[in-house]
Amino acid sequence: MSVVADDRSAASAPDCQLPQRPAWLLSIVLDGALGMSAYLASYWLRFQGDRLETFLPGVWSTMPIVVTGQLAALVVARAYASRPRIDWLGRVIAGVVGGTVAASVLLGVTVGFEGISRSAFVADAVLLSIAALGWRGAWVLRARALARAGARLVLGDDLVDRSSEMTTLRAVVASLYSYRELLKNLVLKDLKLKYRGSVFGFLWSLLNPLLMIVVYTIAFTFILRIRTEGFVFYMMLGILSWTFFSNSAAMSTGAIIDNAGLLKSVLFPRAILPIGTVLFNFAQYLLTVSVFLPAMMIWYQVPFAVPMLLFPAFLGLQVIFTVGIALILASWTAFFRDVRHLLEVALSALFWATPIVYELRQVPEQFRLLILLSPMSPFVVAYQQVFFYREWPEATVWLMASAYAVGAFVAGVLLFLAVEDRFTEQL
Amino acid sequence: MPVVDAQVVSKRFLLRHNASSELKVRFLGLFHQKRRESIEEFWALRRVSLRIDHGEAIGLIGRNGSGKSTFLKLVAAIHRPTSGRVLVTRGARISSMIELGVGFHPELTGRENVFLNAAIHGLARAEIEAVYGSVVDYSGLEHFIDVPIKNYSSGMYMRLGFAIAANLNPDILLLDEIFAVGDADFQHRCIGTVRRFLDDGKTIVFVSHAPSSVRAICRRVCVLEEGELAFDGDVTGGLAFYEGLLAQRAARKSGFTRPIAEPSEVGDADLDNAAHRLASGGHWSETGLWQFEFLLNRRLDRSHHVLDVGCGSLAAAVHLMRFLDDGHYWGLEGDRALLEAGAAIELPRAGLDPERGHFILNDTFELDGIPHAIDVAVANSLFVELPFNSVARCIVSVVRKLAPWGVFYATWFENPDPSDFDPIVRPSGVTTYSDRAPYHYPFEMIEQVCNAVGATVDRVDDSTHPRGESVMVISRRSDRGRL
Repeated sequence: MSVVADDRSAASAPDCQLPQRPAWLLSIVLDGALGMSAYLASYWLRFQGDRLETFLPGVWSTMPIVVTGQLAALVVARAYASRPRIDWLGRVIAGVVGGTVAASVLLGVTVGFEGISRSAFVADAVLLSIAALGWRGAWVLRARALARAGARLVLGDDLVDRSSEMTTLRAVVASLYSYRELLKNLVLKDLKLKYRGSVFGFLWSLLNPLLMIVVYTIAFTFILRIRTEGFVFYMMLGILSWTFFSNSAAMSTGAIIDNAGLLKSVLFPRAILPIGTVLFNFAQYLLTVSVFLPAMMIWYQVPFAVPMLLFPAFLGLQVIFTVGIALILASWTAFFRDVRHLLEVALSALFWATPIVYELRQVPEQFRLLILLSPMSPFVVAYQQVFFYREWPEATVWLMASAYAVGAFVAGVLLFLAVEDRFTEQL
Repeated sequence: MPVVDAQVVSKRFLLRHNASSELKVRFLGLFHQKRRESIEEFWALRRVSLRIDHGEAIGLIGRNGSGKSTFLKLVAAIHRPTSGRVLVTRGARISSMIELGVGFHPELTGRENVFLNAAIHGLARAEIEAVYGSVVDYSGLEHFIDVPIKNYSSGMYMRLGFAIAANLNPDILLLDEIFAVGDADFQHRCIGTVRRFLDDGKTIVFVSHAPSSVRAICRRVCVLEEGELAFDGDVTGGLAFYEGLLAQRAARKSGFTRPIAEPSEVGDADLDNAAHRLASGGHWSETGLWQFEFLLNRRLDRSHHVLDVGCGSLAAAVHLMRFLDDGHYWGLEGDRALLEAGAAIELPRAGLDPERGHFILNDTFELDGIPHAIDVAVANSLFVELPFNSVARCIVSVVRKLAPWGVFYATWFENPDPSDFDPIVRPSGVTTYSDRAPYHYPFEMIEQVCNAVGATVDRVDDSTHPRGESVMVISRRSDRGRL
């Protein structure tokens, strides 16, 4: 008999691994500095060139109120609590958003709304959220990597604790690489299943965009009479990349919950499932684009321009962004099935918040930053700038696209790592 | 050198009782502390420590919900322990046959599924191609390998699943009850494969309810009871311990929990005229003793599971229960009064605890409550009282419950001439009838029933029965002569 003596301390051991929080003083100082930079950056995004000069004095005078408001809200949201809960990072976002709203209302009431820009406040909230989330995420990932290295030292090289094996970013990437065969198989499986048994196979996925082009051409030339040259080409650029994003997002909600049986009986890197759905949609998008993009350029007589070479760069950013969103949605749906329905609504709202069927330059100047802040906008705008306007993308587009890609990816990986060991119990 | 080292492992599951445990509840929980409390804790494992050495084959047994599968999933790192930790050899390939054919996609062909499934288990392209041939050979599905597996029978599906799992070349093999799903042939194959793994020095953790499979594979048995490691030792001891657990539970369920405190003061002579002893033709002591000695002469072993069909007032049980291992005696009776009299009067007189046996009370020969195969069944002076349809039903039920090597002894009054329906006067003075109790039947009639359910019946040459009844032995046809 090897029944172990009653060991109370084991049963009450710390609940898995809640992330330890960095020192509160350091956090406040860092958040304060980031709050100031984000506020400045958002004004820079909103008013470029000379107009920034006229707003700068107002920015400096309102900054203490805004940053203090944000920090106060972070305190209220318990972002600095000594024993953070699992939704810690969510609370950080809530604190930033709440603080910015409160500060802007306070300013509006006291100073009046003339001297300040509301879209700059929205941009401030978004940027600060990404920044605050980003440095905390980096901190958590580093802490995990250190803990893992420590565990390896204690255990020696012969025995390992496999359940804590894959919890660092590096380990995840390494295991994804060693499971590349599975990733390939998953993507191929979805492609095969989609077209198996149909006579025209892949041609069907070309038919849908083709039909859209015909319908829009008729609508815009004969009914709405929009004069912009090649407007259908402009629209298709947005629609195709939007379809890639929205299909990936919608499919990723089922990536975890629809594979419950598999997750419960075989161990493999769970992140492969949502990533696989994104890559499947990416493959489809590539196939479609490789047919339509040259075809449309010939049809609408779009000459080649050097900025078009940037297409792969933005495409890469969009894939990183979509993977991040897919990781978030997949793990979130495992805990709240409502996410699927929520997403449907959010996607149709986002579609209209993205300059797909209208041009960004048609948007009134004060709302332009808001439109650019909607998640898919920087990518869509970038495609339109390089292919339709044939010009180099603006700095703001670069900045937003990179920030969203990195932000979504870091947030997605963090969330996934934090909850992936609970999937099997949730499903 | 252990390959698996579970150190004070506990696992807690949270059972969410609130069906709408979704955004709504989480949202309301922000405001009402109480709204969150619809979660109940369930400790599937409590402070289990277990070291498994290289090349060991360990059987994990326990009742349903005792934490066996949870332990496997912790070793496979599918679940993370709530406290404690499970260590395994670095780089060891763990193959978990927790469910066969999981991850198969019905629309894909067998070939595509093999590649997908092997990739799920972490094999690289070259490795998959290397084992592909042996997977197909092993499954015996060459002709169907390019057919979508939605067209497979469930047997083919399982064969393919097992073929993949068997060819993953794992260092540690986790098996969860998978043999239970297949037919005898499949089970044989599985056990053969597992034995070969053992010869190759692999480590095996085997979860099962079937003592025969555990005996065939394992050298060590761990019994889990309510999440705790209750026993860790050799196979015989472990299985006996487990039987004891089952017996305790069955006794608790059947209502004979309280030991009867007051043994009867009545002498044997007076008791022989008591109603329960006179039922079914008297000779209570003799028939009981005869039944016990008859089985002993046919190599009854104390490790056998014995089913006493029509155990009446426990005339044979008082001998069998003392002889057999705890919990190995199963008594079936249709007459509540008789059984209760036996439990209340005869067992205490014999100084036996009712918890050493199991008792089933029904008159439909419903035997589903018996969790394992029966080695020896016996129906003494039962067919005498049954109309033929009931005899047939009894035979069918019991044969289904027999182990492949199991035998069923039954006594009956023989009617030597099937075409004669007249009453027969026996040497003991009893008259038997073909259409009312006490019944007599021709051997041929019983033979037909047995043949119809795939069993064989033979006469047993024995003329010692106290009431002058003949004896037959029924066994499952394919496995004759095993015992």
